[in-house]
Amino acid sequence: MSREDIDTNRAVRSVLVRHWLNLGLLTVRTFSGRTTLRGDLVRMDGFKEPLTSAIVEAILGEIRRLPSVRHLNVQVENWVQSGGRWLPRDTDPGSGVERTVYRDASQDVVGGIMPSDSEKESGGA
Amino acid sequence: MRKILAIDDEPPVLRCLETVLESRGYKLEVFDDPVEGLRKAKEDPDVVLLLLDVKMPGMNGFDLYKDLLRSRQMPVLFVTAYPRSFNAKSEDVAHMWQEHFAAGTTDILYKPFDLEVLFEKVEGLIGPADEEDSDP
Repeated sequence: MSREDIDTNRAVRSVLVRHWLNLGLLTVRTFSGRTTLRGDLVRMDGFKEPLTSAIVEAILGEIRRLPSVRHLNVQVENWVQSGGRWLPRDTDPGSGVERTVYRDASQDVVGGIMPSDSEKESGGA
Repeated sequence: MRKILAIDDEPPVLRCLETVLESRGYKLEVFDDPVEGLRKAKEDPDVVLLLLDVKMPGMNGFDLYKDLLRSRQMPVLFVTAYPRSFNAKSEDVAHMWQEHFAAGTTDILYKPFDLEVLFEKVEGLIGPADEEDSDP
């Protein structure tokens, strides 16, 4: 990964931020000008305008037009390309597709490497 | 060796970050005291990335971030268990988002996290540990 690739990641994140996308649900990686966007395309919490196909296409188009992006590989889980358009992925129970769960530790029990969330919730800033 | 500074009030999280990122070749310096960590981040020119918790007693991560940016620019990865801390309805967060996040040098990682995602986020911000020439 070159300095230019890191600069490309930065430029891509900048596009995502300008469109109020939730960075915590996405990863951006670039190698030799080939950028991969992985995760879920979701608006930042509290942002009232929902994502639409047109907006997703505009965002991806903006990323593709960055001079240092030679190729964009979109591996998002909650949007799917169909007939040349980006559409929200079907989340019907029978579809076999699961949307990534958007978790908030203040509302559930968290394990893994965060053993003391409950303490934090009661005493944290 | 690229030095990463991590600030989190939970020592187990710091130990985890230290162990896994050092195994990838980064040098970690960890602080469970946000004020001490901020001082170090401001003063140590070798630090190339800050891993920063949001909710901490004494000083929250957003205030620390804004204070740091008044002294120096540095990539920051917020590591938080509270996704809703980043809420566009908050005037403070919205301002920070537009003024600072828009530069593209800040990213967010939600706890609990996948190690692969941690590596991707860190490498996406500063590059692999073994590529000295890609220091941002």
